[in-house]
Amino acid sequence: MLLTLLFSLSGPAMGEYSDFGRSSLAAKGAATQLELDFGQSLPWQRGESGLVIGRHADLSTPGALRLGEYRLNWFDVRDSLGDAANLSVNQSKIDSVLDFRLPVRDASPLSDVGSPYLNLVRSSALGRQWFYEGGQWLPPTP
Amino acid sequence: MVASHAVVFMWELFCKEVERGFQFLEAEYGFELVSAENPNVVYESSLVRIFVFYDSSRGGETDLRIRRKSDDPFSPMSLGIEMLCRMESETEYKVGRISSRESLQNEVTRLANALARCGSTLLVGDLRVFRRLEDQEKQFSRKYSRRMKENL
Repeated sequence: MLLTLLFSLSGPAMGEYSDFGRSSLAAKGAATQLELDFGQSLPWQRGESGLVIGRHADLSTPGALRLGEYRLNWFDVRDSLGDAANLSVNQSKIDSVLDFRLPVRDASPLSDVGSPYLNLVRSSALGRQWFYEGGQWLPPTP
Repeated sequence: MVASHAVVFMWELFCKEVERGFQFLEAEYGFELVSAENPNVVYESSLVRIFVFYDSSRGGETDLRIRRKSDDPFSPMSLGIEMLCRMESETEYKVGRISSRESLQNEVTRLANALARCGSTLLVGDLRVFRRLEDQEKQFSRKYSRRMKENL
């Protein structure tokens, strides 16, 4: 869906508001058209899951996620139950997303294999015969 | 989400420690500290951005990532301190977690020392390590590509 907002400050419809004509906004002059193309920017409308995987630090850099994208998040249980339990939570989270068979973006270099969490997520994708292309993990074609 | 007092307190301590530990970036390499917003303290030169990371709310993880300013922010071309050490000095570095004030100081010092030791070439503006990273990525990408997987 293409949503187009047209602001015409000098159009006849605005002319009847005499005070508006003196505002600083109106003083900026020429009419401007602002296009908000939501249809092209949301992942699920492009057939993607919207999930982004990667090193925790990469996913936390400013602007790391596009509009509509998200990362896996859960209550960290490392301190209370240990790393293995935390990895299990991660596993169940990623499995539930991969079940949808929609592309998942990877925000970290493939050669970065230092995180057991990211390794687990990538292994889950590979175990399901997913492949990597253009920065995304894609499901096998049936 | 409202951060707890403990989280804010540890974050502020982290910022102070980073300013102290990473002072060499400004003094010796002309970097500028451009922002300190939880969970990243960001340094910048004309070519690269360095993100010194600490998530006090989730396991106390630390990390350090370097990105070229010319790269698309959504590209996966982010060089972590572990990879930098492996590629530049063939030494192993494992990012740690911060669990107390003492470990906070130790971890920041360890990160700063690792960057000073392994990143001296990169910090003066020689970005060849990123070309090597790109080559590695191409290899991995081929390995996990559709064609390769279908041939297995």
